[in-house]
Formats: sequence, C-alpha cells, structure tokens
Amino acid sequence: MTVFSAQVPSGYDEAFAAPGEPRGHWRSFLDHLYSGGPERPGRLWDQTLHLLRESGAVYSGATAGSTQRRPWAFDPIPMILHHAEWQRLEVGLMQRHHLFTLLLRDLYGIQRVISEGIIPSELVFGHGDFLFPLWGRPTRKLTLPLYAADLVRLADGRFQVVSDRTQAPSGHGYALQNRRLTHRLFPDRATFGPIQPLQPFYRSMRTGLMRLAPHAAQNAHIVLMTPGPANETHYEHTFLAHAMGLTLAQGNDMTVRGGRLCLRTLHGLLPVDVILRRVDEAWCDPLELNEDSLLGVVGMVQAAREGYTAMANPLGSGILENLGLHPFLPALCRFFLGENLLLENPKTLWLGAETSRNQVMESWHHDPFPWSILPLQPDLALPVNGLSVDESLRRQILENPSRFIARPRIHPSMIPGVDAQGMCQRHLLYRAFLHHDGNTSYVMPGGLARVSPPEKGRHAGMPDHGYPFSPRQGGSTKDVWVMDDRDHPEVATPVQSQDSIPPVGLPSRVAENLFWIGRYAERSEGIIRLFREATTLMEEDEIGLSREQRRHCRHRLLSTLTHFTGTYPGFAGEDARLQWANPDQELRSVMLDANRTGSLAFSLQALINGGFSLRDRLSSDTWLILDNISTHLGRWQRQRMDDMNHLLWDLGPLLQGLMAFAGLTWENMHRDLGWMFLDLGRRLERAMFLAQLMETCLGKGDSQTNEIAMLERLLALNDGLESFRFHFQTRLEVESVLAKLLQDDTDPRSLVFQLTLMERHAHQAPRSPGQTLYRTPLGRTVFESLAAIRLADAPALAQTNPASGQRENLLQLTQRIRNLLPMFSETASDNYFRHADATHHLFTART
Amino acid sequence: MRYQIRHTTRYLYPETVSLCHNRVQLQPVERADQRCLRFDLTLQPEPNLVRSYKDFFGNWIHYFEIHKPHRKLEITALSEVMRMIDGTPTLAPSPPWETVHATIHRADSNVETRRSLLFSMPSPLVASEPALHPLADQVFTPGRPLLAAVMDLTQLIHDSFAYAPGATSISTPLGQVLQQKAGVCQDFAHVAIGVLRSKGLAARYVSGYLETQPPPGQPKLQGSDASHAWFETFLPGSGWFGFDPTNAVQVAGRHIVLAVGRDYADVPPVKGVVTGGREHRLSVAVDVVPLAEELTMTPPAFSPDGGATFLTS
Repeated sequence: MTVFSAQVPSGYDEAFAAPGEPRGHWRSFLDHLYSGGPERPGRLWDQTLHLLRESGAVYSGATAGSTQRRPWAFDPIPMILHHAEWQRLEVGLMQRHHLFTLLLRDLYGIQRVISEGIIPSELVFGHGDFLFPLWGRPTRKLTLPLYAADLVRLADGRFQVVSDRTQAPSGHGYALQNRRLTHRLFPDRATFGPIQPLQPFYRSMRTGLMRLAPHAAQNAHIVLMTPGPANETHYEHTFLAHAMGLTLAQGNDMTVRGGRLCLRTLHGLLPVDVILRRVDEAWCDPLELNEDSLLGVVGMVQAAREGYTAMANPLGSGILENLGLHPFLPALCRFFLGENLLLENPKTLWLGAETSRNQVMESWHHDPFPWSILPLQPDLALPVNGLSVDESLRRQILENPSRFIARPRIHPSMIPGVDAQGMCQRHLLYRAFLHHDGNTSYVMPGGLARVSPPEKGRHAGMPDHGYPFSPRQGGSTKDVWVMDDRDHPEVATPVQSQDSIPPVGLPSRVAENLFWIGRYAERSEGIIRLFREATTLMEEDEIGLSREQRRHCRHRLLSTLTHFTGTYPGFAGEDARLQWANPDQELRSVMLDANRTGSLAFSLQALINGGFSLRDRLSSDTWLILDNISTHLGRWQRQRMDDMNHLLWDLGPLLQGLMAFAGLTWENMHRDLGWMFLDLGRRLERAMFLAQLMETCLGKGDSQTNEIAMLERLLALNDGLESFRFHFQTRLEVESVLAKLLQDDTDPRSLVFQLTLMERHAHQAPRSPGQTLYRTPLGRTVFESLAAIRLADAPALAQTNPASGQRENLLQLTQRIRNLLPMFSETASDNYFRHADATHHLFTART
Repeated sequence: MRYQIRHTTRYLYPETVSLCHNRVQLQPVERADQRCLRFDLTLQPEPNLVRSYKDFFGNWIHYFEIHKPHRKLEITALSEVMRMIDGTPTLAPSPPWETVHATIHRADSNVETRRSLLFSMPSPLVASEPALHPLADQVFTPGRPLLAAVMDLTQLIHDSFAYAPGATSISTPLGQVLQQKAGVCQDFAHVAIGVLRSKGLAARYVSGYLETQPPPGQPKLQGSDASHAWFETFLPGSGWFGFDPTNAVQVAGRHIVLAVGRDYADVPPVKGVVTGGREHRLSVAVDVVPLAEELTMTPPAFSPDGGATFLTS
C-alpha cells in the first residue's frame, strides 16, 4: 500500500492522511482499485485509451496538411473531494464571484475603486486589458454568468486560488467528457458512495443562460461562439454545444444588424439572444477592438451596448483575471461586501509597487529564490510557478516592473494517478466552475482536475520545479468526484423534462461544410473505385481478359481518373502514352500526395477536416468512422509504397470506411436541411463521376471485343455487373449498358437516380416566399439536367459517327451535364453559402 | 473666435458594398475653452441605424450601419464652434517638471490629478520606446519648468522632424517615425506624447482642426483646410495645456478641438469596416470658416444626444 502514499511529507496528499492510511472519502474507491489485483492499473489504462479513441476527444486544432490530432489527456483515477470541503469551497467561490461582479460594474462605471484609491489606476489602465470602448454601458445589469477558479491545496489542507477565469471560462465541456469516461470505466461506482451528479449543473447552466436573454423569456436562441477548428479547444466547443443543445457558430457565421447580433442561416438572419463566448474579448470586434481579428463580428461591441444579446461573459470581464488584483482583493472584499475574503490567494506582490519590487529584487540572488514571477495576464501554458528566473527576466522586470507579480513558490498537493507505466503520483490543480443566472449562483459539484506529469522516483518540490499542467507539457486531467464518507442510500434524481430546444436555422457555413463533406466523401470513393479497377487490369489473367482488352480498358480508366480529379496533365496530356505504359509514379502521386489538389489524400483530408469542424453535428459513431479513415490515411501515407499491389491492399479499409460513412449518414442522420446539403453534395459528385466516366470510356468507339471488355469493367466499377446479367440476360451492348448507367431509375448508382434525388433536395431548400422551385437557379439547373437524361434515346447515344469514330450524341449529352452540374454547385453557393464576404477597414486621411 | 466647420469624407468603391459599420468622432467636444453651438451629421446613403454616445474620454461617438448596397459613402459633419481663447497665449509660469511628476504620482492627489495618471501610461500606439529617451533628456533638464520644457520639446520636434505626407501610415510604429525623423501631425503628436510619458508625465492626443490662412493676396480655397492633431500635457491645479509640434506653437484660438484620447487609436475621426467593395478611394474636404463674433443663431439647448441632428439626403 505504501506505493500510493505521498513521497514528500511536507505536501498535502489528497488520498492519504498518512502512509498506508487512506482518507475516509477515498477508502472505498482505493479498496476497489486494490481488489482488482496488480494488473488492475494497466487494465484501467488500456480501457482509458480505448475509450478516448472511441470518444474522439482531442486537445488540438485542425491544421492544414495534417490530420494528426493530440488525444485528450485523461487520467482515470478521479480526484475525490469530501462533500464538506466542497461546501466550504462553494461558499468561497460564490463570494469571489459576487466580489468580481461588483468590481466589474464599478470598473466599467463610476470607478470608485480608483477614485477612492483602493487599487492603483495603473493596474486597470496600464496593461491593455481595460476595454475603453466597453465603458459606459448601463452597469446595473452587468453580471458574470460564468466564473471559474484554479485552486491549489496547501500543506495544511486549505485551498487557495491561483488564478480566476472570468473572461471566457473554459473546461465545462472537458469536465463533462471526463465524467462520461469515468462512468464507463467504473460501472460499479455506486458502491464507492454517493457521487454528486453533474447533469443538474449543466441543466441549470443552460436554463441560466436562457434566463439571461433580455428580450426572449422562452426559447432563447443561444449560440456558442468558437474561434473555429484551428483552436486547440475546438473539440470542447463542439462537445459542449452538442451536449447542451447550443448552436455552434464562428464569428463570420454572425453579423450585426441594427445593433443586434444575428446568425446567418439558410433561412436568413436569426437574432441571437445569448452568446456563450469562447473567443477572447479583444478579438471579438474588428471595428472597435483588435482590428486584425478575423474571429469576431463587426459591430459586436455596439451589440453589447444595445443589450439585445446577453453575453456570457460580457466583453470587458477579462480585466478581472489580472493577477495584479490579487494583493488588493481582501481590501476590495471589505470595500464592496464589508466581509473578509473567504477563499484567498497566495500572498501576492505587485511589482509596480516600489516596496514590493524592492523586497523581491533584494532576494534575487538567494538560493533558492523564494518567489515565483508571473506576468499580470494569466497564461495557461505557464507552469504554476511562473516564468523561469534568469537574467533576461530580471531585466524585463526592471524595465517594466508593473507588468509582473511575485508570490511564494507553490507546492501543489499530490494525488495518485495512472499512466502507461502503472500507478504514479501527480500534482493537482483544481478548476472549479460556477454559473449565475441573474439571481442565484450554482457551483458545479465536481470540476476539472488538472495534474502535472507523473513524479517518477523524484522528490516533489525540487528547486526548479515549476509544476506545468498544460497537456502540451505532459499534464493530464481527471474527473472530480464530490463524495460523502457517510453511508446513505442513493437518491434517485427525478427525471426532468428537457428544456425545449428552439428550432434554429442551419448556419450557412455549416450547410456549406456539409455539402463539401458529401462531395469529398463521394469523390474519394470514386477515385478509389477507378484506381482499384485500373490496377486490377494490370494483373495478368485475373479476370479473363486478353492483353489488348486490358490495355484498352486501363488507358480509358486512367484518363478518366485524371479528368475526374482534375490532376492534369496526368494520363490525359500529350505524353499520355508514356504515362499509360508506366503509370506507377503518377498513380502514387494522385493517390498519396496530400499537397496535390484533387488527389485522394487531399480529398480525404478535406473530408476529415470538414468533419472535425462539424463535430457537434455528427454522431459519435460517424465521427469514429472518420477518425478511423484519418488513422488509415496517416498510416498509409507514412509507408513507402513501391508496389501498386500493396497500395491496392491498403485501400480496402479506406473504401470500407467511406462506405460505412455513407451508410451511417444515410441511415442515422436526421433528414433535416443539414443532411439534405450533405446528400446533395454526394449526389452531385457521383453524377459528375458518371458523366465523366461515360464520356471518357465510351465517347470514342473501339473494336467490339475492346468495347465489351470496357462495358464489363464499367458495370463492375459501379457494382452493377451481376445485376445487369440477372436483369438483362443478354450479352453486353453499349446501348443497354448506357440505358442502365444513365437512365435506370432502380439503380442507385445510375445518373438519373442521382438527379432525381437532387431534384427532391432542391425542393426542400429554402426559397423566398412565392417563388417556385423552377424559378430558382438551383431548381432550373437540376430540372434541365434531369430532363436531358430522361429524354435521351439510348440507341442514338450508342451510335458512332463513322467519320470521327465518336459517339457524338453521347458526348453532347455528357458535356451538357458536366456543364450544368458545376452551375448547380455554384448556384447553391451563391444562394445559400454567401456567408462571409471579404471586409476591409475604412480610415481617414493623415495630415 | 467662432467657426463654422464643414468636414466631408467620401469613399468610392469599385465594387458594391453590401454592408458597412462605422463609428465617427466628428462632433467637437464641449469644454472650458470651447463650446459647440451646432452639429449636423449628414450621411449618404441613408443609414439603417444611428446611435450617439459619449465615450470614456468624454468625446461624442456616432455609430451607424448601412445595409443598402452602395458604391459611395459620404459623411458630412457641419459644426459651429466657439473658441473661448484668443490670440497668441503666453507661456504660463509652471513648477519644475520633477515637482509635477511627484504630484501626479502621489497617492493622495485629487481626483482630477489621479485621472490624469492614465495619460502617463503606455497606450496602443504610444508604447514605451528607448529611442525617446535622448529627446526627453534634451528638454527635461533638471529643474526646468514643465511648460517651458514642453514648449522646447514642441520646437525640437518641429525643427528635427520633416513634415512629409506619405512618409508614414497608420500602422507605422513610433520607433520607425523616430528613426526616419519624418511624418505627419499624428506622428509628431505621438512622439511628443511618448517623450512626456517616458518621464512619467501625462500627455494626451487631440484630434481637431486648424484654421489656415491663405498666402497673402490670395483667396482661400474651398476644402483647403484639413483635420489636424496635436497634444496636451497636464499641470496639476491648472489643467491641460495644448502644444502643436507641427507648427511649433502653443495651442490657441485657431485650434478647434474635436476629441481627446490616449493616442490616435482612441479618436479616429472616421472608422469603419465595409463588406464587399474590394477597396476604396478616399477624398476628404475640410473648410474652417471664421464667423462674425455675434451669434447669428441661438445655440440649441443641450440635449442628451449632444444637440446633433441627423440629416440624410
């Protein structure tokens, strides 16, 4: 048992009161853990990795040219907090939140704290985090709907706040994610004692956000504003939006009209009542805040002034995070509340004050240096003990002392954990969450525990140990259980009806992404089918065709590949003959080179990135399939492929993944506008594929034996060979194959089948009142294509012009379709996806 | 002195602008040395929303949105201003700058003085910059009275910097202005502010107009005036004193104040973000016309929106 005990007697141990002596509220959990035998930690870790993969939880942004994502760091051993301790924290957090609310109102209002000298004005005005344009709003109603605090536990067991999160508190999504993971990992957790559920907090948080809506008491439209998929916490935004039923939107999905923040949807502009803001405030409005921002909404500051949209948290609340306020919090608490501060900070010195600065600088060369130095603006990537202490830091402080604080070095408490090597000890930083609905504050009975990389055979508190917690530096996270050590029966939480989720228009960007996801998925499938067919034809005697027949079919299919992917010149250029004879190099590039526009790797990557940015709209199974595709693609790209056959083998799982994706989106997605756009993209792409295939493979007549082989390959390529033989029971003729692949309504891979579905989707697409389908550009294009295909006469299409050797009727038809279909795509873009035109700034003359 | 000022800003776009959001600071502030008797803002095309409010520094801001597609935006501000100071002021006696510094930074100073402290801190366009120190040391010699030192600074900038329109842009950092020793009035004001702040003194940016006089014997040309910028420094107990480094003068009746802020970024006369349009061509015309001393009209009563009326044509 001693393996679990703290190694440093001076620090607090979360789990053990003394070596071998678990704390009461940890006992049943630890008993459970030991009873699993020595393999239990390893098994737990394996299960964790499995679940993490399955959940698709990540902590990293989408970067162009890469599908590598850092999985979410999670340590399955929870942080267990005694209920009585949590209640003490609850009171302290509520007091701090109240204090910060009053301070926010004062700072953006009459500024008594400055005029009465409670805090130095330099702290407020000197460091860029006071947003001058936000001053002067009616402050009476200014609230902090969300608040979070990062806490450490000292050796004596007390908690202290090392930083406050007020401007866009994050972690709610990851906390919920972690709880779901521990639920799966510890199905018999009820035997450990009553663990406080988190669901009520999230429910009341949602209701609380709705209540903030100034003008809509019911069915308020809440938008979670995200910086987008490039942000490393984007997964959390999608997860939270999904879990809480919020619309996820980026800055350019929104606009300000008449001082009112609106979402651009397929149905027009939809007013936003509440913003759950995850974009840092300085980046929210290029008109009045940071001009270079592409993440914000032009006019958002004005929208804040107008007050139609409540913001959680309001713009300007970032200033409360300033660490330089810490030395003044006790005085501020007495000033505003007439109370003593319950939940304290570590003793903090602001170096802008001369005496504090002298005190710190005098001990600069002491060993060990007793202070940790931090910049005023909290930096999450920074270890708890701040910047590394060196000469350059000393110079910076002397130059700009007011930008720094000093506080005694902190030694966070220890907590047991598990990683790939088994049990370990980690240091703990605990983020607690609070939400406020305008009247009442609620503290989450749980939270997000962040832990440092494992202490392995080292003693904690080594002089240069800064205690990093960021996942980038090997930190991890834990679920937090608030638990009683008393034994009382589990109280069933009453089933509450879900808040009614208001109907919300589909953001235009989302519709566009879905459209392209459909297109890229189908395009990838088409490329693989072409590649598979062409490669099979290189093998001798595999399918009973003569060398000449195989050569003919292969050339036509390779040319189709080039035309379809647009990777010119490829197999369609002047030296096509050369390439046909020696296709390997070009094929490898068309398949594997992600930097080549149109390649398979390019299309798959676009598909995966599209899926990642719409994580909130895809079911976890669907995401899992995309994630598998991503894994396969990565593995495939890393291998050296000299042998085309190898490539062919490895394509199997990719094609299966794509088909599973197609199946799931067809079977399991709601038939809403989003699905419609996804399927529209897929149908469009497949129609283009067929038109191209017919044109390149049959556009020019050839010897009868070659044509028969080609027809057979075309049917095989479209999974239609068997059904053709079954239904037609005739020998292969150009006429009947064209009739099947172009005009057979019962064949889901025929061109007419795609166009019929597209017409049906076009019917559903929103249009202005009174406008009929065939007056819309979308409707007209699809109707014209459909009519052309339906009216075409198969025997006429099959005829070749003896002079040119070409099937001129067929070519005419496919070219018409190939001209019309891109127009269909463009009209869809013009009508539905026009979400963010380029903007530019106006200035005045300089004189 | 009484003036009528017409300030027209016109943007022409090669492509249609579908939407624009703007904020303008074109309404002259009211202060001890200046009264704004009338202010009309005319916008074309007609805005869908106009809002007026006072900012943190006491300036008037007019926010507007235009939702209608347009290829041209014209903003015309017409104001009538009474300046309460006249002629060429003489430099008031002032305590040594070190004394002023000490007073500003004393914890128990009065509210107005404490408020001035904000203007001794770095701001978005005037960050602390080592290249300012030599200039500062040149004029802030030990024991030199504050206002005398600031007048020296005004003269020094005028003499050692070339007035060169086009030499700088809005995004030219202060350090580069100091290096190339050339710029326009905004740059000179920023240099002066930076120097004062490097000594811990308070300095603020003023956006405004200067009445210009035509060369002798020539009529004044329409639209020949321009918007202008200078700076003010704070003397506890006496208030703010204006200096114009572009013209090496102490500010007097011919300087008309539009707005004050920490630097240009707080008070751009016109600022906006347009959607579409691709780019813009800008033309500005300013006319500052002195009026007869007697009032030709009764000043409107003070109203919450600053007495502004919005005309659209």
